[in-house]
Amino acid sequence: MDENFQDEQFTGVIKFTPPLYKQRYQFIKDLVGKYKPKKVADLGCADCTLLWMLKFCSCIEVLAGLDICASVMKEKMHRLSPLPGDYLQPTERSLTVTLHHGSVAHKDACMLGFDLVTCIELIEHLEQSELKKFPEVVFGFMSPSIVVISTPNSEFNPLLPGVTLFRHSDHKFEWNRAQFQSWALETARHYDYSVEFTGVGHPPKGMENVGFCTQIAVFVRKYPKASESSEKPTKAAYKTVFKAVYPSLKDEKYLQNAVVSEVIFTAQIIKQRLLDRLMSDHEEYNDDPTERKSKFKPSISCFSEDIGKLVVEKGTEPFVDGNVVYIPLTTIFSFPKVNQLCGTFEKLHKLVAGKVTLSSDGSAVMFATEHENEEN
Amino acid sequence: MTGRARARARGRPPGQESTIPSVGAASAQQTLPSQPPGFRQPQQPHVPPSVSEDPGGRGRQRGPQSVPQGPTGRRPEGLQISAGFQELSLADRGGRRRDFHDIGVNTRQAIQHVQESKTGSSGTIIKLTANYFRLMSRPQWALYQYHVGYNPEMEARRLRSALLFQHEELIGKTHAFDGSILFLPKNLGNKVTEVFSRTRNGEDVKITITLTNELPPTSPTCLQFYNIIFRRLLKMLNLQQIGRNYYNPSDPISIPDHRLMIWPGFTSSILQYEESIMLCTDVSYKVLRSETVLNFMYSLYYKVEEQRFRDACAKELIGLIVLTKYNNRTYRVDDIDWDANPRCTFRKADGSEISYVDYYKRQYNQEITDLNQPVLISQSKRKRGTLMPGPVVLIPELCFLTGLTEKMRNDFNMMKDLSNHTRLPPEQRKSEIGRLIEYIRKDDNVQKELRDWGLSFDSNLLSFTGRVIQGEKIFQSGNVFDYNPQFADWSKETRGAPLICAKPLDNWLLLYTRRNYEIANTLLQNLFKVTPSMGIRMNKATMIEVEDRTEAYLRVLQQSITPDTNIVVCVFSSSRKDKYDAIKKYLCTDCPIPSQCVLARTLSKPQTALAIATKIALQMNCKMGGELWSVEIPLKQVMVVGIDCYHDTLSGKHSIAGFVANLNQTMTRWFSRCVVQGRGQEIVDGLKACLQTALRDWFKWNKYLPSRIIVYRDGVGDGQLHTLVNYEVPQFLDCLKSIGKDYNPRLTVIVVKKRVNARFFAQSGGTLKNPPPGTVVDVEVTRPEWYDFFIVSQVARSGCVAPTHYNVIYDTSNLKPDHLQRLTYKLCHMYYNWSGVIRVPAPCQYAHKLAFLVGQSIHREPNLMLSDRLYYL
Repeated sequence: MDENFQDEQFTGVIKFTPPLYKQRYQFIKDLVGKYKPKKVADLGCADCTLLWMLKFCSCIEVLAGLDICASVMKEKMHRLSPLPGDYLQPTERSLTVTLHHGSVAHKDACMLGFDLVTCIELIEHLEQSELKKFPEVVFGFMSPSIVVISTPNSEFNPLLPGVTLFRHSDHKFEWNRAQFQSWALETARHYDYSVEFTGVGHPPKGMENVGFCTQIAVFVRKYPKASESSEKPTKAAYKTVFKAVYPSLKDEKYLQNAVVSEVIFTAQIIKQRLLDRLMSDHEEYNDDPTERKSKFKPSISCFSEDIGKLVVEKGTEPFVDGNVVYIPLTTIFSFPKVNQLCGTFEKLHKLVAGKVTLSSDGSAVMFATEHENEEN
Repeated sequence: MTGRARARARGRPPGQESTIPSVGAASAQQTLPSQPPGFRQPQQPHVPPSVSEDPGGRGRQRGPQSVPQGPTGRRPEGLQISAGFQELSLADRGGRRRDFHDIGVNTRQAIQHVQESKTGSSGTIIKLTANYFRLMSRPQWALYQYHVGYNPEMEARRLRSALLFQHEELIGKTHAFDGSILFLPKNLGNKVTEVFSRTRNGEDVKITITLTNELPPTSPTCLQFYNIIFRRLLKMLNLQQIGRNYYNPSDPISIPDHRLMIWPGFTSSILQYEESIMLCTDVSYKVLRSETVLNFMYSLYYKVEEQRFRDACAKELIGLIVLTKYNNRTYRVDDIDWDANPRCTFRKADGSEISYVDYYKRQYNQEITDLNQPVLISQSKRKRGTLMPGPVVLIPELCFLTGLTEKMRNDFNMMKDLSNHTRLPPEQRKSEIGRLIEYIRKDDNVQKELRDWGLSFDSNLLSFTGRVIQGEKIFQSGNVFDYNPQFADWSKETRGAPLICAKPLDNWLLLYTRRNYEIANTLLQNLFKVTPSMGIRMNKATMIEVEDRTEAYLRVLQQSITPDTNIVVCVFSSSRKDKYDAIKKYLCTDCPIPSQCVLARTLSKPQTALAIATKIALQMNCKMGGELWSVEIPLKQVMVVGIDCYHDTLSGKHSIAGFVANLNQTMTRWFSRCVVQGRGQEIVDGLKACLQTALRDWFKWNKYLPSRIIVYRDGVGDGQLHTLVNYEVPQFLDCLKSIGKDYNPRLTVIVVKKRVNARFFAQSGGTLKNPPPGTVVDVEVTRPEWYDFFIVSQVARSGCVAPTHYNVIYDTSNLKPDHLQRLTYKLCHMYYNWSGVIRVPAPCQYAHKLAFLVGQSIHREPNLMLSDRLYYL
């Protein structure tokens, strides 16, 4: 853990760097990096900051948030929407982000099947009756592979200025380590989870005995889930307040767009090269990029190079006939990006059909050579 | 004709420039990987808000936040919106601290003769609709403005909100709060309401909510507020904000040939117009490119020579707007720092040092694969949170290009493709615009929000009547021509007619390369065919073959030009800008002779050769000081001035202002000068000098000084009106005073704006059409605090015609609005490079042409010997 507690001699004012809430979020991010869960739910997601951070984690395909207060979620929920960039270059992974309005004391089928459920600074806000139902809902009903629960460590409170009873007026209780651990151990035992304790927010030097400012329990389910057939609630208890489906190449529509766009763009380059080569018969042409030395040398394999090589290798030469340039689909398929997008030649054929002008036998992309001189 | 690139020439009046720190750019460039990079930060979007449970409260300090009722002279317009709300509202618009709508600049009140009415009277009535919707509020609607105070004082805005909204039962669910000012749709009952809240630390806080204002629907604060609310609604509709507007990402139009993607969207603003508060909304298209800046650099690398690569990058990229991959922000590329790379480090807000690679990996999970790429620098003029304004560093690999490059704009086929998608004919545009209102009506959440505030929108477009003023007669050397007002073009009618003043081609040069000998010769023959009927006397040109190199051209020019040379014509085989620039520069400064460049390709098509030759002959004649046609101008002793600006993005950010004024009564001869703004200079100082010389030359021509001066000022950006009114106009008045004690001409200053969101549709039969040229609108959609009007003067061949907005910001002329409108329309007929009506008064278009030539090619003031000719056409 790299959070450093910047306090040489303890002066009485505690300041965490980075701030404690960031340390908690970073803890979750690290956990996600380690276990690579696909479906993550944040219970008590408040203004969705954690969800927003998690949407950048490429392993996650489903993100869900749940909070008892709809207005606090709505305030900033739009930052969970896809960005223009997500539309411009859809990625392979799919991602759906959903926000639900509801209570952790109620069961709703939409929370089933998650890999990781986080409850950051949640339980201390629960009323006694809700806290009682909480383990059954999270561990019994949702029963994800991993559950993370964080809560204030009351032993740390004397070090925080101005804290009399609880750290926040809405806290219904704050536990010391023993209280939290016994609750957690009991819960883990009952639902067949293993549990480990840690925390964020180191105490100052000489005060190590009070423990972390925030205590965290990480629960891992001991056995793979037997079946999904546990009792399902018949009616939805939560209300969906937000849903965003990110564009993904798994969606045929986006895949087709990407492929067609890549095919046309690649074909244009090949066509240009071909016409340049034909032109160079007339004019001197000394522009060999491979011989140039530069500090700025594209370090990613660049397409124009690839095209040159591949065309030669395959021997599937594009050609000009009258005013039309023919570029065989096999040539285009050999291009890495297209290849990667489509996987099979048949798929390529299927995706571009009707979207790109093909020769009568469907084997080549056709382009008109005209306009070539109209550079202006 | 000469194939010069079109570019946007938008300048800024003085006062806005002071913040451009050339120092900033320099300091950013000095940073080497190992050095701490001083004050540059990468943008830190969504810096998670400081959470108050952090003991010690790291609230952001913002000056006026805790000051009750914060106008205190910050905004001279007297808006009662606190700093916090300004930020909220302006950040919503894209984060600039500027009012794009020039609210609060009240110029009409100082113009005596338009106090009662500012409308014209002539012309025939036409039924119009426009892209405006009335905003309606229930009767006796008011917005209640409260000041919220905390005791003990709380600093963090979030904490202040949290504490206040512990009392939702009192305040209600519908509210807008910036940390200090609270807007509610309801009255809390008492002037002062006190409540208590408890912080997480258990501290009791007394909150005092004081009613400070009961705002009527038309108050400026309310307008600001409507716009904030409206932007909320657009977000609720899942539209994506890019820059100032909102776009719908779900159904893009893609143009794969150029890796372009076009998002349909809307511009929107709610303002107080002449009679009512209205939403003005128009269809907008955002051109995005699924290509990163790095991709673009790679492909450019293979296209240009090594030593030109950096220049080529600068040329293509600087000035472009990029969109970052990981958040939703747009930046303008101001510089490329080749000495930096993604491994360079910067200091984060918390003081720790981190490299860009690590930062983007950690923060956004964005892998930077090319560690040798340079970085882009954007000079941010806005303050972001607590960060100081300063250069922002961007990684090319993480930035998408937006908009079109010069090259794409010049690609005829691409632009045709694009306009197929984006140029909507009136009927279609109307239905697209209607879709926004449709969205609003159909979305329950949006409807609820509106209902809670007690607001709604009219479902119909605004309808009203305009006037079509009479077409002009074209006078050309004793002949009078009528033109078809539908087309607003008289090229056919006047073809072959003698010109008002034809300059002879006694002694002229025709330069060509060997390859183009035939073409040059054909041009000469064609000129012999077309010039006699125009009355142009022509000798055979001195034909000179030139090697196709810049130096060769310049050498030939030096050797062959004599004092008798009338004009130089060059036939180019390709449009190489450097060659063009060098020749223009030489012939505009060192050796002031008119010149005409033409591309061989333009001349090569036999079927258009004669028409082209005609066009070239006319253009050459103007460049030598000839006159083509005129319209009837009843107003006497009037000097009309046109000003436009060009903003040079490449060579050190000079601004160039073109200044053009008529020299004679018939407005067929013009005086032209330009101002090349140096570092730290104000453009208006140069404009004063221009006005002085223009008046001197006028006196030489007419033997008296003009009794009226009418300035058409183009090139004024959104939100710059204030500067113009308070700074530029007084300088003009000063300048006139300095001419002589007894000289007291009447002055009119009109701001000309081509880029407006207003669109008018003419109801004709059952369908909507573009309004005909000469349509004047001076009711409903104008602003009550201005003396303004719209004129549709040109014809749009496809899509919707864009009206031009005229705002008379100063006027002692006592001219009736009708006369001023008609004079303005007449002037749109006087641009000699186009035998038809154009969008702006001719002097504005001349000034634009001049500023563009100087900004693009010459970069310094042309020789004054040329100032009485239209040498820049």
